Amino acid sequence: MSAFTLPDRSPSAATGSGTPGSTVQREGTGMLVLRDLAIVLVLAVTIAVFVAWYGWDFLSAGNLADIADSASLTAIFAVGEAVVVMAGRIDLSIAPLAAASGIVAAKLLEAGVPSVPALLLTLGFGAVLGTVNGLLVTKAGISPLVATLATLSTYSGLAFILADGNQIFGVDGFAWLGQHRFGGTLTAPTVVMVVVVVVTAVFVRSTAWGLRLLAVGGNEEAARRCGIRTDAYTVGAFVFSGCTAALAGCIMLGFLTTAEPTAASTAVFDAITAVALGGVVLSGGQGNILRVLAGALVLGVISTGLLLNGVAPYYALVVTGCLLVLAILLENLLTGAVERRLEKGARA
Amino acid sequence: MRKLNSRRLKVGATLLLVASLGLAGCSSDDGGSAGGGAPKANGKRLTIGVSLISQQIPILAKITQDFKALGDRYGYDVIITDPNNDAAKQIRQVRALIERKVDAIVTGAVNPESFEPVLDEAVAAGIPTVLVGIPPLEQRRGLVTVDFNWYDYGYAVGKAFAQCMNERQSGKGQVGLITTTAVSGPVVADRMKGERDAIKALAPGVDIVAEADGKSDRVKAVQGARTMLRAHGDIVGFTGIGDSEVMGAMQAFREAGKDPKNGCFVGLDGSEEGIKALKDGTLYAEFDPQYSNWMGAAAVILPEMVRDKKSAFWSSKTVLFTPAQATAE
Repeated sequence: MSAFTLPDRSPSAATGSGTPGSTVQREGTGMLVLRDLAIVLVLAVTIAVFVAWYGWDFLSAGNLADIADSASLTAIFAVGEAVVVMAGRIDLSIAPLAAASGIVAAKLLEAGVPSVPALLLTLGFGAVLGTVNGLLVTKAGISPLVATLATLSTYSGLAFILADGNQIFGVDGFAWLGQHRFGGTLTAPTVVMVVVVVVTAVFVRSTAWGLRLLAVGGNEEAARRCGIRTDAYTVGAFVFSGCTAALAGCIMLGFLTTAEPTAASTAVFDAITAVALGGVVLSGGQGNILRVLAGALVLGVISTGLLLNGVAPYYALVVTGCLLVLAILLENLLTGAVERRLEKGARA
Repeated sequence: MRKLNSRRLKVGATLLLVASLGLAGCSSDDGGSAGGGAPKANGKRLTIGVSLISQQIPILAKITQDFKALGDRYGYDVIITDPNNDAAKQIRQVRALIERKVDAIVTGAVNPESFEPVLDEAVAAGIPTVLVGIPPLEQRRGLVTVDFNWYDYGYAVGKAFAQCMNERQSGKGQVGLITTTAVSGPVVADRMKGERDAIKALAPGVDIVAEADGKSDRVKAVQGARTMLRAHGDIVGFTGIGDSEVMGAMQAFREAGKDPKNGCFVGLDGSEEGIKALKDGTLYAEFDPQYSNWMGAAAVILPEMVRDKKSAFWSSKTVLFTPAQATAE
């Protein structure tokens, strides 16, 4: 096993040559930026398609705010999922975890617990369920796919038990988290999404913890031999995913003033799609949270655009699938072209 | 003849009991505590397997629990399976129930056509079966259908919606529907067709400008309605596949600064939330398919069939339920 080093993100590492300020380095930097921007270009192209289809009103502040709002829950789920995937694992239990968390939050609010403590307690609940996932993977040695499939069922049952199979409606203690609009346009879930994305992006890209997390995902054995407590980072990733799912559950409760055991039924598919669109390598060790955000926004643009254009639901499923394939092909095309250029530069 | 009349009398009495099960079927709170004098087959407690379309659909989860709660009263335990809207999974699960030799089965087929062979197997094994919601392609001895016409249900909803539009909007205006692609079959397709047909026939000036896919996820229903309202600012009402979707659309309607009492919203499912909205006047009408009564019927019929092999229910009966329009009272 070769010696382990933390991922080097410097342009010189990517291009393999060049001194600071050299032309090669500048070109390498530009190429890296372009590679990271590929999904943003895909987002821009997707928006352009719908502007051409629907008209300039697609770019109205209100519509863009609605798109951001519709992407916010997907993005929050996806950020948690991305961290787990970067650690070389996967979490399929986020939807029922969010549903159970929403029910816990509703029960706390109904019991008279003030909203902020209720939010913190619910995040704690999500962290506990995330810890269970992490321990099943690290201590029990169960594959993350199987472990979180099992907890998907368990947490779903837990949600039904906690709610006694019913909806809990008329709980408005989290309305500030789900419905408030800043300046009459920007929704609270959008703001929460931005905060979650920025904090997580900084954590992953700019802290030693984040780099170690990527190291664990990239080569767990090498990371362990370098003294990194791989189990702790793995459990930490699941705890983070549990917390983001619980946060999403609280936002849903605030948004709907209703908690239901089947809430967020499509969350895991949307989240993994956003993660894949964002170019996070499913085998772990690589990824960029800002690209995941762009992936979630692509989904939001497509769903909103199709509805604005009156595409009937059954056809919308087909068109969504086709557009996603086109988006991924375009993203791969751009990324591949940039990487080939980088390799050519490195050889030169 | 005399014997036949006696059987008919018993069936009539049982159906009368079924019809009066509104309270029993709807009330899970009693927890089946009224267990005194519970009829039991040969003194032993029965085991009834339940396989409805999905336990992930709250109303179906609720009526399953209601059915379970009636177990003490009618002398049975319940094995609940969850196909989660997967026809193949349901077939495997029901076959497992047959293998296990449960005393009876109550089921609603995810895919009626592919489910036929399983019904044959249940009948061949002598296991009385109640099929709820969608009738079988072929009647069989030992199979009782608790039938419900989804198209008529949708038509009744559409009729009330058209009535509202005629009253409040002079029969003209743009409206939206919220459907779902998370569930398939007549439960969705026939219901939505009934709604569209009724609106078109009874309020021809009303324009259904768009349909959104709520994917059985209320957040998506709100977001879909919000987008529809952005594209068609003149939308004055919504209906759709269920209370959750209609109430979600109502939330988006309010966000757009509109008062639901001036628009048209018709709910369906008979949920607690829907009844509350009917009482406060934000829903024009609410329809209850009486799901709990379907299961209440099964709770009466199946023990009767197990206990009495000569019961007329063995001769393939259909118990028809019709949607009831809920009242604020």
